[in-house]
Amino acid sequence: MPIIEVDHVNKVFKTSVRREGRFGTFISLFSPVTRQVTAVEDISFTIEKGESVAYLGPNGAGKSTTIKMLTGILEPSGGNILVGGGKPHRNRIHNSYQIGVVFGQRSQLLFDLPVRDSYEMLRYMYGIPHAHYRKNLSEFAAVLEVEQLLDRPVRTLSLGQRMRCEILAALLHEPDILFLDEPTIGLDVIAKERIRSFIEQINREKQVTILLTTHDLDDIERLCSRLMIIDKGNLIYDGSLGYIREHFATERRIRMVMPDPAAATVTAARFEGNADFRVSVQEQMIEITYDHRQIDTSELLRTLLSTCNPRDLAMQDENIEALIRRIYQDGINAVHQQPPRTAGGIR
Amino acid sequence: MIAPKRNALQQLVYLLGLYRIYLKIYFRTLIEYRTDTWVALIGGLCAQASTLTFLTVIFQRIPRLAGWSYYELVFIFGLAATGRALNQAFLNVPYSLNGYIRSGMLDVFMIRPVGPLFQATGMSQEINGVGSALTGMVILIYAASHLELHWTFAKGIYVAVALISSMIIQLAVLLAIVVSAFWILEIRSIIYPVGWLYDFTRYPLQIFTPFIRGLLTYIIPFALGSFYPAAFLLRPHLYSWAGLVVPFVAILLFILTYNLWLFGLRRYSSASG
Repeated sequence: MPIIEVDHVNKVFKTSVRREGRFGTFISLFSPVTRQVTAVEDISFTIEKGESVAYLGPNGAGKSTTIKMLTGILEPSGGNILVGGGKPHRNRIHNSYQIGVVFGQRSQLLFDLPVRDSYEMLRYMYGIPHAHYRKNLSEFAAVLEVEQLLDRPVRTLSLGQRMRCEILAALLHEPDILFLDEPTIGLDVIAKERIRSFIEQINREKQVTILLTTHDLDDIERLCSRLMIIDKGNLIYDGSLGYIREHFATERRIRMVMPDPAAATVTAARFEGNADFRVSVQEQMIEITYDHRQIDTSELLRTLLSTCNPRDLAMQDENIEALIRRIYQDGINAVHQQPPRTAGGIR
Repeated sequence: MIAPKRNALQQLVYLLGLYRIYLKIYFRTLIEYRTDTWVALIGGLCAQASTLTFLTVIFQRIPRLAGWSYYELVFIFGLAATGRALNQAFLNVPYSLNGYIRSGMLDVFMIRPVGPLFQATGMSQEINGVGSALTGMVILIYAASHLELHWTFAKGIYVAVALISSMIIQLAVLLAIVVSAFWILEIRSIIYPVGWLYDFTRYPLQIFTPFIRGLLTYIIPFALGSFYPAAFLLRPHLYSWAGLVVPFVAILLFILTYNLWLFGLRRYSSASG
């Protein structure tokens, strides 16, 4: 049985709008004016125990709303959510024992006190047996390298240090599922790496199910075998990152440096006529962009090398970040030309 | 982990233990900000001292007011002031709740295995109130020592019941306003003037117009936690009804407001974001 089941879930926010005029407030009291905003529209997916899933989307796409529904903070307006077999918002206390949540933008640590005090509070709150608490604290603190920080007030920690302490706080009660809402936001490369390797480790060794939202594709490459993209409240992709790379990243780029790029331009002209074929010259560098499904890469290279004499040559596939940006902007169909047949696909 | 099962008594013990941890946390925070704490304490004492001076001046010119003697007036004032201060010290949550909602802390509370209102209450102590409560009790004891009240154990218990009722009635009224702000955003700031209304009940209700008397007895029943219990202790034969009505109203109001809170919380999770 999947540990998370999301079945045709909607979330509509009603915000009340104040009426204009002197008695606006008073009138609104009796006949409120509301405006409806659909944050999440007909989303369905399941996550198995031990999976590690990334949830990606532009700001305001509905990522946080989904996380809030899964953690029981928000109630779905329609559809059904089951986490560990129960409805999260119906039984928050039961749910709180099976989930750990890390909000990148807000802290569950006590700002003015040593980190350890927050952990002691959580120990009592969850009723964690002392032996378990000691074992978990020492084990996680060692891996996250926060032993030296435990007696320092939270307010004196750097963002990266604080984030590691937050993750530890979310795991003290040994949850089955860990939700991370932008855990690496604003961190430097080393801090990101530490957090990634820890998440990877608890996912692998303790079979903790991971669902993380992020804007950072390196997070996904490193941590998640599965990627879900949400846009304007709709789930537009559910599959692997590799699948996106393979099927959507169809653009290739060849860069050559040579004394006389004009010669190469003449050669390259033979291939023109293809839709996505572009050549640009910048001093001694020539850059050729093409769709690898329309032009055979080896043929192109052979032709180029037989006529030109490049000093240096580099090939690149499409920048995945740019690709995701294109998916956000144009929708998945614009990017996707071949309908998928195997695992993963379009919704 | 799996949620531990607790019966009602175990749950009560658990919550009291948690509140103790919150007090410890607050105390340790106060020590972290030593200077700040001293300023707050001295500020609180100064405020109380000025009130006391004001009172002494007023009451010395008015030996009797609406049939109440000087020491009786001081007794009424002391009980009401203590109730207010204890509320501020331990149940200050209506004033901080809005901040928790705005900062997203309410979301953090909601993913933990304890009611969010309890957590918010636990995080909302106010040191000012402790100083004021001490001053209030000194006033109360000073007045009581000059009155022939024939103290019994039951009367002592009743003072405690009255103070707790006062704290709960204030909490219920103010919380109801804050929760209503889930629906009607603009009424949030009403909490301040309504809070100040309590100060009226430090004086005998008879000195006010029937409108204010009715308001403080039936609509915003602050007087049930301050003036009436004091009057009951001073003149049991005249205010005998207050004996049971006070704790009863406190419990009733708490149940009503708690359900309003649960309803508001559902709305928070179903409608707003």
